[in-house]
Amino acid sequence: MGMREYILKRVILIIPMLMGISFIVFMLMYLMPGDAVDLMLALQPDTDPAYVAHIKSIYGLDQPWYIQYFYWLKQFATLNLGSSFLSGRDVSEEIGARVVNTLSYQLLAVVFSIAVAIPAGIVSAVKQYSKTDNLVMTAALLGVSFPIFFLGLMNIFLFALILGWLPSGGAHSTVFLGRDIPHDFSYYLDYLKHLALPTLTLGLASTAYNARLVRSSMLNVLREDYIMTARAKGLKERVVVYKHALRNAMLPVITVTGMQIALTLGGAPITETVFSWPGLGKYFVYAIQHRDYFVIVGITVVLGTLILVANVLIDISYKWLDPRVEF
Amino acid sequence: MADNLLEIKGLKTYFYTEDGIVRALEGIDLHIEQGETLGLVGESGCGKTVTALSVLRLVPDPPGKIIEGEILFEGVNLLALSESDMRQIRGNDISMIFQDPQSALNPVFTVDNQLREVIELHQGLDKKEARQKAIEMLDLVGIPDPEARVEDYPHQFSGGMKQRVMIAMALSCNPKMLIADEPTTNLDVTVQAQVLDMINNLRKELGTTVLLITHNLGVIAEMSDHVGVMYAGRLVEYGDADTIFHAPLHPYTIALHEAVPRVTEKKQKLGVIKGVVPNLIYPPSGCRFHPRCDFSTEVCEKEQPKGEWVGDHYVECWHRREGTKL
Repeated sequence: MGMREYILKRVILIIPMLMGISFIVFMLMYLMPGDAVDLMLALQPDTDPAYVAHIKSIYGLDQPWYIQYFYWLKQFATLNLGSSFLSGRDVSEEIGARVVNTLSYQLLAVVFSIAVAIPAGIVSAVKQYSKTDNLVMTAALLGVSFPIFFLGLMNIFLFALILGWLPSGGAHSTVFLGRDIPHDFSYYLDYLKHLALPTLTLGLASTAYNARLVRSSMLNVLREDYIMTARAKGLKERVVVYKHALRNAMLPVITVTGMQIALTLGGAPITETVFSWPGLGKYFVYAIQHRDYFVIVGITVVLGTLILVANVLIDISYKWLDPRVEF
Repeated sequence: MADNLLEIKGLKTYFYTEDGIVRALEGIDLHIEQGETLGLVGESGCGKTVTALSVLRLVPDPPGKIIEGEILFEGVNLLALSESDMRQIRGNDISMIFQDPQSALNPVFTVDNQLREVIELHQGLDKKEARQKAIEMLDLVGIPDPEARVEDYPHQFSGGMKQRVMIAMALSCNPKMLIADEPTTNLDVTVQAQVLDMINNLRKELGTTVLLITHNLGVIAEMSDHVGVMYAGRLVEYGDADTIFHAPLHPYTIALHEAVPRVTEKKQKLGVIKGVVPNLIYPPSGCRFHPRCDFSTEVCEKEQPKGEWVGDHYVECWHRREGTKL
């Protein structure tokens, strides 16, 4: 099978996967007690039950869940994700307003993690058991041992409270909030400052993991015969390590990075809650708390698509890294 | 006697492991004459490969270290060279091929890439010329359709073909010496003969000196001018191939011969060397072979035998088996 057919097949497979995901999420959502209308009226228990029933029937909430799922699916077939019970706006619009915020720190964290973990892991492996190695591995052990929210709080404590360098949460300072604020340089600089802590927190956690992985993968590869062949050719150690070893050592790292993308995107609610970051994760938590069904399914579908697309990209990069891979 | 291309004097290579110091080479003296093939035989773990890696100064460090000795290549002590001078020798003057061709080529680069690398490094050719040279080398080692195959990756070659590629790579800078570490052990028997023939022909054609490491006496018999027999980090016997095969003096060499099946004899049982290869962290006292030797006496247990030269024949034993005929 050629690369093109493989990619096509994977992309087509995304459709049944999304149907499966949305079905499960729908089922789970309706296991939660109460719906959006119940919650909105929670403080007015004496509302006329007939009126409540009327409102529910407008939104279709009086139907069994599988009927509702069927309607949702029919809508979804035209790429319509429905509208939010709470804001009344289209779910796609609500997601569109937040998805960039989530992708920005997620992608930066991956870049940060790879940029730090690869050199650290290589140095650690090449100078195994040296002081540098011990230092890097101790730091990495600490990094993988802390849960994300704890790392996040520690970062806020250090960089926002003690040092005062970075803001502790949100995406914009108050002066940049509002409709008429021009999106100029200072606006984006302010955004970047807010972006720093979520990126650092998420990045540190995966850096620690990746550095350990790069080290062990590198140590394995450095024991391979072809490394000895490369040395016996008279190549410089730098060429041996960075040309012959690194590319082979990257294969498991790519695999794990692919899985990490799913994990960190799934962990977005935690990261974004810690930093009050206006992204999909925080919105997801909010939507669940308010039983905003279509928003919940919508975010799940979008995150699911992102993860599936990332997986396809990872598979393609295998082929690029390792000619032995056949699709 | 012809000029020696390589002379190893009193070489000691130790490995500092967690369990203790592995004395892998405990004072080896060995020389290779210009243009000859020297066969180095011995059981697994006797130090054949470590000897080869020591010559190229590629013993993995840590844990390995060359403790003392001299390795003279064309009169220059390799152990005294700087790392960058040593790199000029590796792949250029001395090159090496390994036991397992399946894993000796880097799986993620094309053959062209891996061949050109060494040619560009040592011969200063540009990419186009180096590629031409790579194709010539593949043709020389008998790879059909080299212009097309040069673009292939190692996994697209069979085991024997990979070993041919390795040989092409090793010979591409026309080295003075080729170290072949068990070059045919992992190949099919039919392919073994082809590869050995090829090494033999190429060395005659190019005048390359060969250090052939193997535990296969048959291979040694077919290829070598001289033979060195190693046991537990010592060279126990050395001589021309004829002597080693027909009038060996060391009990270990004799035992090795008796363990080989022969078509000409109807033996019911092959000879067996009792015991196992010794632990080189705590090697046996005196002669390292004495616990397994049929002829050992008290002196063997106590004292390391002094090596003795009789003409071109070296043997290290208290009880030389004079008059053995095989």
